[in-house]
Amino acid sequence: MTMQNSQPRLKSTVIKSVIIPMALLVLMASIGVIYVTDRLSSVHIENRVNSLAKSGGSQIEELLWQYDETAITQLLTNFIASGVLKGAQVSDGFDLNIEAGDVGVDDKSLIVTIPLLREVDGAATILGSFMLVASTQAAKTFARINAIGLIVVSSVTIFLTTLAIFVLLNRRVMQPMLKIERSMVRLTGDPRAADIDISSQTTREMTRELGAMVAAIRNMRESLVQSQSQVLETQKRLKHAAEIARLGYGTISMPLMKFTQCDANLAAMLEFDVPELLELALLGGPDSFQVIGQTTEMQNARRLSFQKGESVTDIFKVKLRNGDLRDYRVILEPLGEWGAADFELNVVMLDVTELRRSEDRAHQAEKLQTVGKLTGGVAHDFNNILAIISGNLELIQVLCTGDEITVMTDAALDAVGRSARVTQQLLAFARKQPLSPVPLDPSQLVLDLKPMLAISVGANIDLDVVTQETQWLTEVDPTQLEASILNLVVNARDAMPDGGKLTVAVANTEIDQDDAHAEITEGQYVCISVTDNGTGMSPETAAKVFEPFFTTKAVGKGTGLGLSMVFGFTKQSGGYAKVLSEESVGTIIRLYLPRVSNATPAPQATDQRHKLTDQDAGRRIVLIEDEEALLALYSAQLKTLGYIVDCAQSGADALALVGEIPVPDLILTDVILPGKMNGKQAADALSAHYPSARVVYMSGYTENTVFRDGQLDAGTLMLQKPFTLANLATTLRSVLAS
Amino acid sequence: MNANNGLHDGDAARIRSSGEIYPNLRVLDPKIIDVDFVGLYLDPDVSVKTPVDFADYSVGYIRGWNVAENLFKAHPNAIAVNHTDSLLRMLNENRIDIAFLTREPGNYFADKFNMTDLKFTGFYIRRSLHLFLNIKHVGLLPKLEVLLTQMHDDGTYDLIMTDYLTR
Repeated sequence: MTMQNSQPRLKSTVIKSVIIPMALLVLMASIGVIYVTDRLSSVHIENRVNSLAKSGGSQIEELLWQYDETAITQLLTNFIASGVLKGAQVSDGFDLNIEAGDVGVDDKSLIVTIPLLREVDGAATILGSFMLVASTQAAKTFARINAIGLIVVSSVTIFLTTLAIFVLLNRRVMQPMLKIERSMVRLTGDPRAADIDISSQTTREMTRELGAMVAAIRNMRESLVQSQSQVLETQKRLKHAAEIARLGYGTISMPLMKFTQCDANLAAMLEFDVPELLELALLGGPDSFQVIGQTTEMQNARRLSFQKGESVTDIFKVKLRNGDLRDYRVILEPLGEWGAADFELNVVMLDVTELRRSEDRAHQAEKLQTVGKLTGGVAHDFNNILAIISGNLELIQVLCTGDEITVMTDAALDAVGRSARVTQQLLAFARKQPLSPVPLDPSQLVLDLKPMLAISVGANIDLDVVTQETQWLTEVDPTQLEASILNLVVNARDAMPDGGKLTVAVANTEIDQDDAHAEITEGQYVCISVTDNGTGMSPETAAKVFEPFFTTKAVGKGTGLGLSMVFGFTKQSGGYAKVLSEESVGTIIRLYLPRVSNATPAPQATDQRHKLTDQDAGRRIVLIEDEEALLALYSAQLKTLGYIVDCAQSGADALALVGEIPVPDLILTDVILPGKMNGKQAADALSAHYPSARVVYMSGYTENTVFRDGQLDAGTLMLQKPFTLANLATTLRSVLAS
Repeated sequence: MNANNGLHDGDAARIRSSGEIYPNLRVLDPKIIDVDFVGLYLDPDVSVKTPVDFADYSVGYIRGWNVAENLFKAHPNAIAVNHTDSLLRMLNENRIDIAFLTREPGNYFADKFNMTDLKFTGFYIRRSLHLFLNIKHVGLLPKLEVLLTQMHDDGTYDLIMTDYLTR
């Protein structure tokens, strides 16, 4: 609320409303009094003269009758001395003529003449006449002086009364009102400083109504202060919330295409400070930011919304001055009419870059997990088929002789072997491969692997291996880690067809809170990175490199399973794989593997395989396999090796053998079995009856109970399908010999 | 009053009873003159032989004269005036029938107003007039009384008064 300067002030209003009207009233009353007094004075003087004539006439008549000229003269003199008359004359019409005062007559004289009659002998006789001369001017002047005196006295009285009223009004009403007014004016500023400053004396003197008004205003001020405090607190919280949420706020003038206001958050998001951003033309340019990926359709849709007065929420990809790409969720609220000169957009902006990246990663992980499940299932079934093929081929080689048969079965077995590696990679990607993790020094592993890596990359690529002396340990399957590194190196080699620099580095690293995300938790890791300065990849390509069967290589040059196997193995080992690539610059792929403490590196595995002998012939094996073809194949292979085989297609079938057969030396079971018991449960149940029997599992799939997060329980023996007859013989004899 | 207050040494021609009114005045026992209070009239039909006879006429007299005031206090048509000449003028103008006055002044004013037919009523009241001294001169009183008596006796007094009365 603002005070209008044209509005009258309280004091002037009181003066205009009270004092001036009163003065005018007094003036008019004075004029009236003078007029009436003037008129009345004329009447009054006539009455006085008439009265004097009447009362004095009888005396004059008596004295004239007595011829007492002295007394008449004295009486006339007395009349004049009374101030009423200026002159008087008594005459008997003959020789007696008595005058007193001025009997001269003019137009301002009032003359009254009465006859002096006396009854003589019963008849009225005129003794003479009595003339009274009065001056109306004197009377009027006298009356006017009286009136003026009255007016002066009245005016002074009214002035003093008005002054007293004004002083009283000023003290009890106007001064408190002015203080209230000043306080109310200050209310437009900070109401906390706008208390009504009225002294206790003023408070006592002011009227009850003003006191009530002051109390009401103070209550209103208290409410206002309280409300303002609440508003400020709310604003503070909202601002704090906006800061926590990293919300930016601003307003864009569309005709000017400039920010008319913005806060520091919004400016910072766009890599500007506030003054810079307010000066910036939003039409693009090298010094501005750029909104990319906007189509005409999107812009038209927004325009339609603005024309309807509707807000728009969208995610904009913005390229900043420094080249960074950021994603912003932006709410645009139209203010005013579209196309108007004052049309503006309220902008609320939130940086969702990290959220989008997390979403992308989660989406990618979900996709990879789905594909993993699919490929795992396929690989399991395919492994079984390969096991049947390879097993039967090997049986043919054992049972049949002839060069031609050997050549053909070798070719067939070679194909089966390659197929088995494919399924192995699929299982690795699907994180379903059985792993045998051991604590190891990754630097040592890489150094040991360096000669083979050098052979793999060839002479035109400069291979460099960088390791740490104080290397943390990690617990992974060494075979799979070697395969992963080899895969990465081969890929890097292929990315540098004209040669280049390839670096394999092993380093200790810590993922802190800022670097952690859904795919990798905060902690200590061993980082194995493979870096090349080859062709690099576009962001779109880099996002897909871990997907199975995705390859940029020519048909027949790659399966598209190498990096997916690396990814799956790393994830299965509790780690994380990350690709950084820039087209025409190169690629870095990093494997983060969790550090293990209080562990010592496992000794190098030695070849424990035994030659196929018949030293275990005659020993009894319970074989549990639900796949009928495989059951027949494995049974045949075991019998070929000299074992006595008792077959079962489920856990229940196996338990049915208890008491029916002699005590077995070994239980060989598939992990996945139909019915209520899986392979582990069936083995456990049989072991309860045959505690001396050793257990060996078979599986082409890890998603079962013998694996803890894909890792074999300690002491558990596993044959990975498809396995060769030699693998089978070596494993069984090794177990039976231990 | 002036004589009583000592402003004048004394006063002349007052009736004896005046000394009862003014305590500081002392009367000289020998009279200085006799005065007749009498009615003056012009109309020949007037006849006043006793005080009662005044009742038939309009009468004027000098205000303050005790003799007149007492005589006419019950008179229905008596008028008191202030001046002798006014009284005589009223009589001359027939405004009163009788002017009650002393005899010698009456003659004087009759001459003044040419009242040739002035007459005096048969009824009159005679009073002796005396001199009065203020009490501060009381020591002169016996001597003055002796001298006044001698003046009466040797005719000096009459000689003086005749001249006065005949003017």
